[in-house]
Amino acid sequence: MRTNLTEYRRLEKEILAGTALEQHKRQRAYKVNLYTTEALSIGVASSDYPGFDIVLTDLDRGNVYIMETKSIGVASSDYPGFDIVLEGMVDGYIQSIAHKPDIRQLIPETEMPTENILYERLKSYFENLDIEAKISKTKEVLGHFEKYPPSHNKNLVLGALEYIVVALRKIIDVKLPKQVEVYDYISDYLNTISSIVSLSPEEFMNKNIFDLESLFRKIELFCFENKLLPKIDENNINLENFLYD
Amino acid sequence: MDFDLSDYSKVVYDTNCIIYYRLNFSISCHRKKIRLTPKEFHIVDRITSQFLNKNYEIHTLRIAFDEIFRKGIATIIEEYLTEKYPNLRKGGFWIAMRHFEIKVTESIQELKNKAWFFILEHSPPPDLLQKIRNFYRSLPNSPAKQRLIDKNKAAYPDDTDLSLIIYSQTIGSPLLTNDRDIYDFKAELKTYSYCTRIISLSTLAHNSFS
Repeated sequence: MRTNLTEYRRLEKEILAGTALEQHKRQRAYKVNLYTTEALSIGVASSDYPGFDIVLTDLDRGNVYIMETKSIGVASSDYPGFDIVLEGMVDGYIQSIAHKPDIRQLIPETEMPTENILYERLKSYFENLDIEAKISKTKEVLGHFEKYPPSHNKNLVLGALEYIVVALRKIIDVKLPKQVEVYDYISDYLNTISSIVSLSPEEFMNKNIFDLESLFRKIELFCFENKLLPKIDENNINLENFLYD
Repeated sequence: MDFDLSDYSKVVYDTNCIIYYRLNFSISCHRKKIRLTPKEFHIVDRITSQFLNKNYEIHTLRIAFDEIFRKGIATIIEEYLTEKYPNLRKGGFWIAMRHFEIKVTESIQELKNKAWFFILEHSPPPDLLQKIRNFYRSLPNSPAKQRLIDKNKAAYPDDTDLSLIIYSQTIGSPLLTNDRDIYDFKAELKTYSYCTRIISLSTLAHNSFS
């Protein structure tokens, strides 16, 4: 999942980079033949990569994901040194990878707004996340630690978990590409907190939660900078912003 | 009041008194204010002003100061908000708790920069600690002692409270406390010279020093 999120972040950065070339790429999807040498593997893309059919791994680029794959075959003698040719659709982002020297690319034949591809992929991505399940899990952990005696750690962690429930609700409502990043941090936070639910109340009270707090600060900062939620420790804070069902 | 401020130049604060001194924050919700300002804040604020006007030093122990951050603040604000704002439990309670925990923590940390506030690294001798535990054990049964046992699962206060009692006696200064483990037994402690003077917040509610 982490690789997928990284992929989306890179994609978003690429699109937002703003150069003329990138703007041009943003407007198009390309039909290409990808030639590769020393291909390590070719296989069906996993469900973690919605919208992609094929994953191709080679020494230079690592994994390259391709959609609307039409054919895979042995490269002709016109392309000496290459083993495999793969015909399919790639978007502007993959296209930029395809400019590397060992890829011979045909002239684009098909145009397709990349925003649509991106939107469809994100839509599919969020549908696969099952955010409701994550909210349920968060509330379950919250209920677990609520039974613990009062402590500094309890207040920080439970406050963070309540905040995360609200943040997840915002992600469901809005579904913007930038929110993939905060979802990534939230997943890390919940994974980390899951590893300490077995601590006794005394152990929990004395645990150094610097890592958790560091992660939560990233979540909070991201939500704050993207106007999703205020920071909890702001002066004149309004609790209404954090209410949830 | 049974003593004059000019009798001393220092006063020892227990954990709760330090927390109450900085417990004055609020947040908004549905156009209303949720105030974290218990009545004890006003008492400690008033008496601290009087101490400072007389150039008192305010002392506490490292062990007490650390306990404030570990669980002291959390215990007081959870109890206060649960009792005062029960509807908060329906949503946003822990957001409010986190907000207040951070604000109060920052505020208490600022005390370290005050010229009149001292945190002492004082560890009472183990034999003295044991002696005062034995003293508590020897006290006759009473509702106060039973409450002490129920709370601490022992017939004596925890080491932080005992250390504060001993330290205040060591420097010959009064101990300001809101802890019944201490002030319920102040007459006995005084009789056996385990303390210099115990000042309980409850007795200050309607009084002031001269």
